[in-house]
Amino acid sequence: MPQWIKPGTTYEFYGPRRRAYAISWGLTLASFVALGVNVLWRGSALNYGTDFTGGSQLQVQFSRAVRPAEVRGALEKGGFGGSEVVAMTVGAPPNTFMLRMGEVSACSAAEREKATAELKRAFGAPIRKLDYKEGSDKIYVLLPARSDVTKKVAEEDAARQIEAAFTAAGVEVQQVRLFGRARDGSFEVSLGGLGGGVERALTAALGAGSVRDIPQVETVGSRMGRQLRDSGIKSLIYSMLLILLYITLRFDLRYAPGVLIALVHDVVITVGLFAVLWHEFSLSVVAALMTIAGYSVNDTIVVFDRIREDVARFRDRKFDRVVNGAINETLSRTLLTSLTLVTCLALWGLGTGPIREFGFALSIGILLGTYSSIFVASPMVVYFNERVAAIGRKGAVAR
Amino acid sequence: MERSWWWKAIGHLLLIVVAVVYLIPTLVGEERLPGWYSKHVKAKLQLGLDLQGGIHLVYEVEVDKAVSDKTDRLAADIEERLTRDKKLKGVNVSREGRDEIAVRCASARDLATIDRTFLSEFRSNLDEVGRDLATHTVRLRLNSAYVSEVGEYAIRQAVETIRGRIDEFGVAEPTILRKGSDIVVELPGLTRRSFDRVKRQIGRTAQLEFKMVDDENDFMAAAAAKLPEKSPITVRSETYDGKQHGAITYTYLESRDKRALRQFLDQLKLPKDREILLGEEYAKDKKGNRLPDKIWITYFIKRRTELTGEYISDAQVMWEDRTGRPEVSLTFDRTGAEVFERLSGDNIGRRMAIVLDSNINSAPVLESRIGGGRARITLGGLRSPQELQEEANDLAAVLRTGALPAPLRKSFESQVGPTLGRDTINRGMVAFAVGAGTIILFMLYYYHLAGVFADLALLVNMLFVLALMAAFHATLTLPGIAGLVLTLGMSIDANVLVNERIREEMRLGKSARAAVDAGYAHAFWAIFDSQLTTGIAGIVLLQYGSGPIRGFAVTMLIGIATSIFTGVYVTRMLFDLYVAKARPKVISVGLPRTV
Repeated sequence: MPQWIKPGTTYEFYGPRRRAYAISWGLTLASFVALGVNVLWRGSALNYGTDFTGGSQLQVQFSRAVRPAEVRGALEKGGFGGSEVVAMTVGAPPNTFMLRMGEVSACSAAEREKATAELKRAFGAPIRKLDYKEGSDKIYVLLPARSDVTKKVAEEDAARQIEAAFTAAGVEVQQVRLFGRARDGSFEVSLGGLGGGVERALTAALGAGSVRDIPQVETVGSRMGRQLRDSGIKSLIYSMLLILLYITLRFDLRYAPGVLIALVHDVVITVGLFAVLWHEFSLSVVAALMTIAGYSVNDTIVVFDRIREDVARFRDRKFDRVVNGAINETLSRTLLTSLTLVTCLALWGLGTGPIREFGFALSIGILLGTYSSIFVASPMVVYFNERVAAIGRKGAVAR
Repeated sequence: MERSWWWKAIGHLLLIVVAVVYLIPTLVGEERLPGWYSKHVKAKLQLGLDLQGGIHLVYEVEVDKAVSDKTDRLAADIEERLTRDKKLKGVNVSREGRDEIAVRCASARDLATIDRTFLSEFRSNLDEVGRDLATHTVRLRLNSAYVSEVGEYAIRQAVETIRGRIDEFGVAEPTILRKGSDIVVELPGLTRRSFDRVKRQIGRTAQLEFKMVDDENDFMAAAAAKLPEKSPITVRSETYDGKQHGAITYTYLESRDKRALRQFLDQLKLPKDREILLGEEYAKDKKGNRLPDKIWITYFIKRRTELTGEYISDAQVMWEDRTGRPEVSLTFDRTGAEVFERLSGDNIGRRMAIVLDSNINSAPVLESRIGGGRARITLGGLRSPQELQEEANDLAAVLRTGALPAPLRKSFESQVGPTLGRDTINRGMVAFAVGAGTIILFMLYYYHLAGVFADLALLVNMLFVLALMAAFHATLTLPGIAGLVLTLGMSIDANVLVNERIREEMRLGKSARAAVDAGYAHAFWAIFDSQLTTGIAGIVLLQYGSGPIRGFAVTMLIGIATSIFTGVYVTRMLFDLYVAKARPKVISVGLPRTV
C-alpha cells in the first residue's frame, strides 16, 4: 500500500533549524558571490539572452556536417566577428547551429567612414551629416548644402550616387529615397537585413548551397532589451509585494516575513544557479521565476494554514511544537505536490531552447520551495511570533 | 441518491458538452464543419507564431526625429522669410535641442523686424520663449500641443501605412497593434523568402504627394470594357463641372475586393507616364447614403509628382461663409506656393489627387488659379455636415503633419520558419504527454479509486482550459504549452490536498461520508489560497505584455480557475456518488484496510 509518510511520524524539523539557516545563508551568499565573480570575470552577472542584451540570434541549418570552428571562421571573414556559435544537439535537425551575435550593425563604423569619403568625392563637397543609430537598418544622409537636388531628375540622380557610394563601401543597400523636402537634401538609405548578410558570409566561406535553411531569426534592439529587462525586474518585485500583501491580509503580520524570506531565498538561489552554470537567462526564465515565487508561497501557505488550525486546536502546546507538528501533518502533501516537478522535468528534458531553461528553472525552484517552506519559512514564524510576543511583554511592563 | 446530486451531475455534463462543442472547430477544422455550426460557434484556438511559423516585428516610430525634422523645416522657413522678404543680412537661424529655434540677428534693428506680425505667420506652431537684446537673439519653441500632434500623427500615420502595405501582400489574419509609440506587427505563416520582402515594404517611410488626375483620358472606359462578365468589380462613371474644359465625365472601377481590383489592373497596358492608384471610400447605396463598409475605387493618375507634402507649412479647418460648409485651408511655404500657383493655374477644373504612400487620400477639383501660398480644399458630395466635418479634420491632419514622414525603426524581430514551428509543437506535445501520463499513473498507484477521480478531474480540467482558450480566441504559444504542463501539476495539487485530508479524517475514525465532508471543508481554503498566490504572479505576468510571456500567463490563469473548479467540485461529485452508491466503510484513498 503506498503510504510514504506513516501517520504519527514526527520528524524534528524545528530542532535543526540553525543548520538549515546555515545552509540557506551559505547558498544565498554563494549566489551573490557567483553573480559578483561573473561580473568581474565574464563581464556580466548573468548570461543574458538576446531578449535582454539586444542583438541577434539565428538558427542555421547546414546541408552538410560542419565544425563550429569553420562556422566561426566564416562569420569572422564576413564581418560578424565575436559571434557565439553553438551546435544544437537536442531537439533540432542535424547540422543545426545557433548563432548569437551582439548588436551587429548593418553598417559598421569603418564602412560608414568609407561611405562618407565616397559621398564627398561624388558630390564634390563633404556631406553635412550621416545620421545612424546603432542597430537601426536606416541611415539618413544630409547632402552638402549647395547640391541642387530640387529637380526630380537631380533627385533620382543623387539617390543613385548615394547608393553607389554605399555599395562601394561594401554596404548592402536596399533602397535610397528622398526624405522630406528635396531642397533640404536629406536622403533615407535602407540597409539590407541581417539574415541575408549572414547567409552570404556563410555561403562565401563554406560553399554555395551549404546553408539549407535559416528557420529562426530573432533581433532585439538594445532599447527593447533594456525595456524588457526593466519591466521583468519590476514585475518580479510587484508580484512578490502583492503576494506579501495577500498573506498579510489572509493570515497576519507574524506569518508574512517568513513567507517573504522563503520566497526571496528560492528566487535568489535559482538565479545564483543560473549564474554558476552560466545558463542563458532570458525572458522565459523571468516568467519561471515569477511562477517559482507563486509556487514557493503556495507550498508555504499550506503549512501555515495548518499551523493556524493547530494553534486553535492545541492551546496547551508550545508554539514551536505546534509548528513542528503542522509540518509533519502536511509533510505527505508537501512532498507529493513536489511531484508536480515531474511535469517540469518533462519540460526540461524534452524542451528546446528557452523552454528547456524554463523547465530547468522551475524544477530547481520547486525543489527549493519545498525545502524552504519546511526549513526556512516555518521556523521563521516561530521566531517572529516570539518577537511580537516580546514586544507585547515590553509594552505590558511599560504600562 | 439525493436529487440535488443529479442536478449537479447534469450541470457538469452540460459544461463538458459545451466545452467539447467549443473545441470541435479547433480539432476538426472549420472548413470541414457544416455552415450552421461555424455560424454559431465562433471559437478557435489559434496557434502562436512560434508554433505555426511567421514573423513578429516591433517598430518604434522615431517621434523625436519627426519633431526635430519639423523644427528644422520651420527654421529654414523663418530664415528664408527673413532674408528674402525682410532683406536682412547676416541672420543665423538654427535648431537647438529637439524643438527650439534660435534666431540670431546682426543688429538690434534687425531683431525688431521679428515682431508679432512676423511671428503671427507661425502662430499655430511656435511660441516665443525668450528675447536676448544683447546678442540680438530670439528663441522660439514648438508649442507642446503641436509637438504632441506631430508625434501622435506620426504614429497614427505609420500604423495606417503599415496596415495598407500589409494588405497588399494579402497575408491572412495579420495583427497590427499600436503600443505607445511602438507598432507591433504579427504575420503568421510566411515563407522565409517573403520575410525579407515584407520587412522591406513595411520599413519604408510614408510620403505625401500631389499628383494630377487624368479624367479626360478614355483609357479607363476602354479598360472597363475588358472586364469579364462575372467580376467583383463594378464600372461606374461620374460627371463634374470642369470649368473651361466643359463637363468632364470619367469612368472608374470600384470593388470591395482590393486584390481582385489590383489583379485586373496589373494586366492592363498603361501608358508610360500614367498610373492607376486606389483610394478607399465608404460604399453608398442607390440613394447615395453612406454604408458602413468600405470600397476601393480607381483613379487614373499622371505619374509625375507635382508637389510633395513637405512644402505645406500649415493646414486648418475653416468654414465657408456662404454655405457654412467645412473646408481645409492650406498654407504653402515659398517654393510650394510658386509650384502650386503654376499647377493650379494650368489645371483649373481638373482634379488634383492627394496621395499618401501611393493610396489616394482625396481628389478635390481645383477651382481657380491659387496664388499667395494659400489654398482651400472644399469638400463636396452628398454627405451630412457631421461627416464633412470629420473628413475635413482628417484631411487637415494629413496635410498638416502627414507632410512629415515618420521614420520607423525596427526594435524587435523574430521570424520562425514553418518547419521549426511544427517541430516545436511536436516536442511540446510530447513533454505534455509525458508529464500527464506520469501524473495519471502515479495518482492511480497512490490513491486508488480517489486517484481515478483525480485523473478524471484532470482530464476534465484540460478540456475546460482548452475550451476556454478557444472561446476567448486565445493564442496557444510554446510558453502556453509550458503553462498547460504547469496547470497539470497545479490541478493535481488540489486533489492531493483533498485526498491527504480525507486520509487523515479516516484515521481519526470518521465514517466515509463524514471523512469526505471534512476533507473538502478543511482543504478548500488551502486550495484557494495556494492557487490564488500563484494566480497573483500570473496576473503580474499578464501585465508584462510581451507576446510569448502573455501566452504563458493566460494559460496559467485559465488553468488556475478551472483547477479550483475541477479540484473541488468535480471530484466532490464523484466522491458523493461513490459514497451514496457503494456505501463503503472506508474510502478508497490508498490507505491500508486496517487504519
